[in-house]
Amino acid sequence: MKKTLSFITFLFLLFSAARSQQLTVTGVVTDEHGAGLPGVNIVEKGTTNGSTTDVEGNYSLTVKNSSSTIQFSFVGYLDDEIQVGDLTRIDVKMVEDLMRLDDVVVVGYGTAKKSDLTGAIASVKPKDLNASGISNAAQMLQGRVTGLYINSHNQNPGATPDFVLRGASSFQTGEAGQPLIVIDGFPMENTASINTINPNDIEQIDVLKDASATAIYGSRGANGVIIITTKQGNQKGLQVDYSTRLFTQTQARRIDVMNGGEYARFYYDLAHDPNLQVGTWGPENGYPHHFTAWDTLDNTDWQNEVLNTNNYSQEHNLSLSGVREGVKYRAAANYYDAKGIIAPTAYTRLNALARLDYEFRKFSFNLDFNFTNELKNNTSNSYERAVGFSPSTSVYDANGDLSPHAFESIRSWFYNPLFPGEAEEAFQEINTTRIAAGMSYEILPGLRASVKGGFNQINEESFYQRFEPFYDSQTETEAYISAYSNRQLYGDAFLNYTKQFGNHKILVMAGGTYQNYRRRGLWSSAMDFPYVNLGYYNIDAGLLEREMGSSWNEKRQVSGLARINYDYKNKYLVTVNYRLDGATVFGDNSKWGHFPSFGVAYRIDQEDFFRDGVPFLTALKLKAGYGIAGNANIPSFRTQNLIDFNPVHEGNGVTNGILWVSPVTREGDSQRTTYLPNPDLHWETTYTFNSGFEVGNEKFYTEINYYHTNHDQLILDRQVPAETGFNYITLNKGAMTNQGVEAKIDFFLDFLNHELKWRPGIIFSYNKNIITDLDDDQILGFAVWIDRTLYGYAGIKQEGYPLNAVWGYDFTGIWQADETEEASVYGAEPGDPKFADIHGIDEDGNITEGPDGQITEEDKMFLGDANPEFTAGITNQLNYKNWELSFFWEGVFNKTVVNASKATLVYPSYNYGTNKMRLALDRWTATNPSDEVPSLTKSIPENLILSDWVVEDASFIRLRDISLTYKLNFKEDAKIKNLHIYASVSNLWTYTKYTGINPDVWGVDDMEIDDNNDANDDMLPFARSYTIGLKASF
Amino acid sequence: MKKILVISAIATFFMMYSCDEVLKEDVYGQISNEEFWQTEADAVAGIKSAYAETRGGWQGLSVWQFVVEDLGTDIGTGGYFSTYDYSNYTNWSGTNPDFPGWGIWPAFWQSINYANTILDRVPGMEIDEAVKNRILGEAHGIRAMVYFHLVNWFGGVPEITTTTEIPLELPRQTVESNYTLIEADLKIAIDNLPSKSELINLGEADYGRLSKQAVQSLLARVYLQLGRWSECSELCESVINSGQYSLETDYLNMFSFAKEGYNNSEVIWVLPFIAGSSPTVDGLVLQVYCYRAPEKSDFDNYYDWSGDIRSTTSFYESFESGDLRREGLFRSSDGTTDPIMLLKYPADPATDGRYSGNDYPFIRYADILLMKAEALTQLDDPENAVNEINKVRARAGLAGINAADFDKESLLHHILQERRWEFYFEGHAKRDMVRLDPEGMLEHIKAQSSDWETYGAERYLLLPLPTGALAANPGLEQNPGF
Repeated sequence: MKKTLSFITFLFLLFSAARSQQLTVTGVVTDEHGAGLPGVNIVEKGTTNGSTTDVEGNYSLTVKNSSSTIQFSFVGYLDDEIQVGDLTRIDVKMVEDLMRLDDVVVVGYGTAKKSDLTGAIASVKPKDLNASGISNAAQMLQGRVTGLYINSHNQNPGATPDFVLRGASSFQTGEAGQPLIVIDGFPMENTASINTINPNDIEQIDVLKDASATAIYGSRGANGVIIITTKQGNQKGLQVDYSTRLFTQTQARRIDVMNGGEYARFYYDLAHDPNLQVGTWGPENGYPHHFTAWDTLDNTDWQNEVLNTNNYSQEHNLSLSGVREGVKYRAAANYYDAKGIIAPTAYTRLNALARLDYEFRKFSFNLDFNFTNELKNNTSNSYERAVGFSPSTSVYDANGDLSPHAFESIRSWFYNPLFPGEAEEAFQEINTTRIAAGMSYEILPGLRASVKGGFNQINEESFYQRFEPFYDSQTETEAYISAYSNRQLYGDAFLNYTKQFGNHKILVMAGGTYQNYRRRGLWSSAMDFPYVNLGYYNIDAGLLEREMGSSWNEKRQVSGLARINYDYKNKYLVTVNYRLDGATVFGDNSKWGHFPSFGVAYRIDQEDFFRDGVPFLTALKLKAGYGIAGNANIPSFRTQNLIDFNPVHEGNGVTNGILWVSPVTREGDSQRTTYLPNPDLHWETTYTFNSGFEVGNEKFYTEINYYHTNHDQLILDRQVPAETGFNYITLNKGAMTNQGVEAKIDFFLDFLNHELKWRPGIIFSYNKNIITDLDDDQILGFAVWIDRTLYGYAGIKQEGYPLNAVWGYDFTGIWQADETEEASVYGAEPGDPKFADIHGIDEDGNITEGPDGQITEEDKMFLGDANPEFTAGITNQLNYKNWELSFFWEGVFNKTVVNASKATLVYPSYNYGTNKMRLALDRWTATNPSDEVPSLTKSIPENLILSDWVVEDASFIRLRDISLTYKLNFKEDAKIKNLHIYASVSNLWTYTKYTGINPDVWGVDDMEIDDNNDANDDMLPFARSYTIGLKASF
Repeated sequence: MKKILVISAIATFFMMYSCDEVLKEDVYGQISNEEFWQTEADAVAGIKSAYAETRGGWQGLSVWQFVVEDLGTDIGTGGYFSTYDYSNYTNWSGTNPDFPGWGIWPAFWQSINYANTILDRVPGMEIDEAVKNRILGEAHGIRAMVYFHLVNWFGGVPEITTTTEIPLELPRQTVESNYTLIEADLKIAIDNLPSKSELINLGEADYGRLSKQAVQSLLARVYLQLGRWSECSELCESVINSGQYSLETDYLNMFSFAKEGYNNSEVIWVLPFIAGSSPTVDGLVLQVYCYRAPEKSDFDNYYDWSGDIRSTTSFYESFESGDLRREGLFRSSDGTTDPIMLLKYPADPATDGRYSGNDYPFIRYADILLMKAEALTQLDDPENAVNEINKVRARAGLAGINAADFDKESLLHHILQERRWEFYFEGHAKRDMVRLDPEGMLEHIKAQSSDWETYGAERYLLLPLPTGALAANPGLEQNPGF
């Protein structure tokens, strides 16, 4: 064979020399296993001269001369280039692009090939994942994007996810620290919009992480940008896809509370403890009940009783996609009906989408339509109440009614946990309509103009009514209604210019955008309805406390932006971005912000010396970037000194009154948190340096990034002394850094002659967050509230420590009987908690070393960071014949949580008479010298709730998802093209030392969800879900 | 190509030009503080709002008067319902009471901020000088009144007298310094406020606003507290000599709805309330605690918290026999230790006890008489002192007392008793007791407290500063013992 080949080559050489150097090259293009590849594009480099391979992969191409280079390209395979030289036969084995270097990445106002990126951008394509258990777009990113941590403490179906991208980025909580969500080029107002996109409609999600990438989003780029792109119409013919899944949930973790007998005994003993100093309880006041026998009591497992008995959820998707007369179309509908693990929590979503794309001569048009209807049941879920309700109470009494608390008659607000389900109705309905249209026109070759515009209308309606009082002193029926309308307008216009000359390629983009956001609302409430059927149906029938209100608020932003990409020989890549932003929320003196950035990359793999010298690697790229992005996400009116109006009464009537509580955003909430106006308020600025490299071959691909982010002029709400008449001031202050390393390694391993494919992927992120400057000030965080009492702040934000630092006392045990004297120094008695007395304070206010006989602020120590230091994910996909097994591990490490509910679930002084954790049984008594649990005969000591007795490490590892799929593929002309059937389990196994209900909580765990989005305040227990589903294409 | 560039250049220029307008933050439903203070009506709306803020429902003066003062002695007890828990306060034990944090501190300082805003903004307004001076006088009066309560309940507090350029670290000032401010404020108020007769002529809408006599009485109260007896006595004298006040003949009827308004000859300053539940017309919260006694059908529909705050058997039994004032209390037959219900403020038929329309008498003529009596006793003029006391006793249906039966100490002690009987649940009790019988006050604390031996009973003479306030203002120091 070899001989023949050399002979033929020899002949060709002779022949070509004779024919004025023109050469014809032939060959066969195969895949890595030797099978011929049909349809491969073959082009003589720098010309339009080209050809394609036939069914067997054979080709033939005549080129100019021996110095010509032939390029081979094929979708899904790495491009290859070969210089003809002496060869007349060139056989090419193409390498599958497992690294996806040719994939298109959305970079914001444009796209780029992954291999050309200069910034840190992660892409996730749903079709590459086994997305079996996924109900929103955020879940696709969880554990798959380096540097991104999405905590899932809010397990309400339909809950808005909480993102932390490359560490804590803002002093502000809530939306202000969240990344910008962009859906098909439309920047959304908040992250809740991620629920208005059906995961099945998503083509890909790109996460822009560093400022060299996000600066193009200017004042909204500081927390990162998540760009969601929906699927376009199918290029071929009509395709119909249908998928469905059914799932159910079980409680994956429980709180270990006492049973009926233990509970009764515990309170009996406590009431007879001579040291009991809690309220007026004790035998003389009728506490507790006189139990005659401990073991004949009812023993109700309330955590089980409140579980949703109808806990079956379902989802259906149907989509049509195709092309007709040049119009690419896709329409899809989604129905998602999810039940929470605790009744009556529920969420249904109905989503419909249509997308049209059309190209006509030099024009192209597109039209997007998206409608989402969401219905959330917001009735109190009662889980926390169930944990604390007396186990010695039966569910129903002799009459078949829900039992009252068997133990507590006077404090009747300990109502039966199942009662809210009977006594109240609460729901929220959100309708979101998004329509966007765009067109572009090619003015000259390489120069394209485009315009795009759209609106997003979100209508939120909430309804609440109570038919019966929850407890005796709550006498009336009650109803509340509210309607908020949010309208977002968006428009942009751009010019794009592309030019290639020789080895230089230039791409220029410039344009402007306009955004307008308006929120207005109406609300009303009333009490005491004469009939059950009135309530929110007829709120003006209420007799008492008739209240009403309205609000109106508008924000605008205008921007100009430009980008230049320069590419030399495909080896050296440079990107320069610039954005100018103006926004209404900022003070008059600082309306404009400038956000430049640049990035460079060097594709060493394009160098000949690399190809020759390092044949075992196919990709190697170095990149670095620096950029400035901003954060403009602050509420309206913080810069203005405003007066609000509210009638007050005079002598005997009502007159105009004013409130100077401003600046205040008028919403239904009656809480009057007041802000000192700050006319100098301006952007928060983020400077990021990012560098990294990518390396890979057909067996692996890895990307490692290092970043260093300086957050400067942070916007923060600093508490001001209440003595000023205000609570906070929003100001720019201080600086903070986030430094970290992110690594991602994908392996492409084949066994058994390629029949068994194993695709493990590991991601790892490390982040260190430090406040570098705060003008020696301290800002308080993590307020620990129990009912109305503020127990203090577990978070102190100060220089040299992380933003979300948790501080507290060092709990060292319990004062024992033989330590009475030492204890009395601290005003304590045996049975009280003991804390390390580390520092004191002298007369001049200086901190002194060593004990001073008092536990003071100076004795608090740094206990950890509420944000995790490390996060990791391991994905695994194994394919064998028609089977696919995938599993996904997630790990979150060094994350500190203030488990405040530990104190309330152990101390009887909190809601005396409620059930407590079994841990309380080990309480200190003269005969049980516990070193873990205090005597519990007193109120919760403030120092204890601010100590490491409650502050815990909430690191965890969990098997987040495991699923098994059977894939059936049929012939092209069959009625069904393919059919996938799968079963999966999420949260099958979790390892953590955290004692609370869900290790994935953040900050203070008081078993409540603190984000303001959900009326449903109680946390749901950590759930495990079981899913079966199928997908079919027709 | 050129055309496009020109068009884009023009468009960009236009965009930048119009941006100033586009980027102006629109305000809907509110108005800028800079633009607001223009007309007389604006200034009047301001001062009326300051009054409303001061008396306001759950956070104003009326509720904390009776909680801190009356529940602080054996006149009142109880107070445990839902989330409003005063038991830590009435028991004087354990965890610090939470109401100073969510109730008193933020609301009282907001009241001061209201007064300060008026004192900052109104002087520059081009309005009628008489109206302006009156409003400024009222703002000084309101500010003094709020500071008086703060210094009494918490000890020396920071002094804030403006709304601009306030530092974010505000140290506590001494009690003396606080009183200097209060005295100066009240003197300005006295010089600028109309007398009662002038106030009446201004119409019903001004009912509840401060008169010259009201601020004189407040200053008398301040002087009494400071032990400046002769100045106190002189001020009482001038209120008496104004001739505009007299004792009502019927003690209980004085608190009835029929006696609200200017036809009540005894009330010098009142916190007026209107029945209703809307946050704008906040009623007298105290009413929610009044008893729904089976024997008293007026209170049949009362809210469930009724009866949660009661008087005590010991106080009920302390009255002299025949004292008509005891009719404001009612001994129920519910078998508890302290079945003494409060009926002094009659049921408001318009409400279920919450947000009742009963007015809350802040200063009464009887207080002037008894303050004068106390000052005269301290100035060693028992004869005239007893003379004033007997006026109050006579109205209560009691025989007069005789100066000869008392020495100075016992007469002062009797004045304390008389004040308790006369003013129960009107927000005087603890202040009176600390002033006239500090030992008795400590005895009361020791009797209730389970931890006074650890922390000392003295610490309970003041309220603890709220945790949140200490955290927000590094200049504050906690009261000793807490």
